[in-house]
Amino acid sequence: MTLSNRKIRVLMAKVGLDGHDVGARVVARGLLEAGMEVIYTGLRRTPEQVARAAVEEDVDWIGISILSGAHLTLLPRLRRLLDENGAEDIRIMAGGIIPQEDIPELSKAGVSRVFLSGTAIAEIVDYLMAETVHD
Amino acid sequence: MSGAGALDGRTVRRLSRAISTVEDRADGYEEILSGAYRAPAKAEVIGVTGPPGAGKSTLVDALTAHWAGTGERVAVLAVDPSSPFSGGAVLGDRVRMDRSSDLPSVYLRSISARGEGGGLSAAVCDIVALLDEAEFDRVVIETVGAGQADIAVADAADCTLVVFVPGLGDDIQAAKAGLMEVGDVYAVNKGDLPGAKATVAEINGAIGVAYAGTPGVNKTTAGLITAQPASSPGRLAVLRRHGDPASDSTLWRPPVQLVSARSGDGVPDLAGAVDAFLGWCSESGRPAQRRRSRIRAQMLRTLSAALIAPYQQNAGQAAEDLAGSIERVLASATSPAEAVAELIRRGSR
Repeated sequence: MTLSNRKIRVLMAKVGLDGHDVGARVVARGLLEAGMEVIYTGLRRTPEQVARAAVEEDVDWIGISILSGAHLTLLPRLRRLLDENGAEDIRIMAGGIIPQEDIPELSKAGVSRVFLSGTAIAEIVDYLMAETVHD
Repeated sequence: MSGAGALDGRTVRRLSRAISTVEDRADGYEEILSGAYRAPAKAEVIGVTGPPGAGKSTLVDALTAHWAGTGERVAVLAVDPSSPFSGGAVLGDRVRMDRSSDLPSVYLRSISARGEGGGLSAAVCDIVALLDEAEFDRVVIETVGAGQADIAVADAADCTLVVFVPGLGDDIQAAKAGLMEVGDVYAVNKGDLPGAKATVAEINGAIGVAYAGTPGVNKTTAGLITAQPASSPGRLAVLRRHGDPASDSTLWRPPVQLVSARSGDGVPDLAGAVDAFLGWCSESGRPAQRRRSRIRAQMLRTLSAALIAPYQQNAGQAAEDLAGSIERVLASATSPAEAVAELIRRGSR
């Protein structure tokens, strides 16, 4: 297999009522510099829109930036929508304002990784490089 | 999902994965393409190009929603530039695709140019073949939008739509040698801005230098000849694409449509102008020719990639020969042109 050509594709999205996308843009830029392809969807998307975009764009990862506090509702719903559409292999990472104590519940709901604020971009890049599997 | 052209989830998933495989040239891509190119090519391919900031994404969104509204299955390929340093990309065209991206018969895919010049990516024509196989009625390709050189789409598309905006001023003059030569239909977007009508007149004037008659389809008559010399390469290209008074009974003169993508004003008329051109093409026997030029471009692209590939490996005879040639050029012993001629003679793999 020609490993060198395979690009890591990441959908960066903001879901729900949440108007700040600086964090999402900073991460997008960092992933770009690491050679990844980042699809940015813009603000205030529904989980339905994000799931559909992820399938159309055939991404390896969805990065959700969420500052609104609705993560325990929106992220499990996104996971469910992906699974229902045969996209079990598209994985979710999340960042933003998420309390540490919510992480176990999110893991159980199928969120692969939560990056708390203050995470270095390099840590996200290393994680995606190590975890992405192309079949 | 419902409606005439609606796509089911499984089809979308399969198509999306196939596109990635073809883009990446990953395992199995030859087989995928071998099937795709054997499917009947029936999708009309619309290329949308123009300078940055002309509102191409918003216009593509509006046109796509319009065609989907008439029952068509429409795919959008939105090409954005890649980083020359990392090869990565941030693809942001979805942000402006609010009106079309939720419709059940629309498929939207963001494409990185992956270092390819001319405003497209190397895989775009192959992806069109995949979309043909998936029975799309129409494919809308939005180019990078880097400016004058963004004209590779003219080889890939059945109809090339060039989008301008008011206020570019002399840029239209400057763009003449590129964008002003490839359009089948022109649009002046942001038609509510001051100067929009003047911009339409300006572009019409520039078209009038090379075309006789009125915008759209013209009957060939004795009077319908421009002052341009008939044998120059640029002239011959126009005659081939838009009709030759010596052999065609009708000629096409590219129309200029005033439109506001944001409000939707003028969008149905613009879509009508594109369809009128496609109708004229098919009446005058040109669709096969457009497809031939698309295949030719893709053949040349594939050929050049295949010829270069052995030299891009980290090891092997070809890579060693190339390294040796580089040293000789560095040592002022030969020129790149001579060294390459020698490499080709040797034909190492």
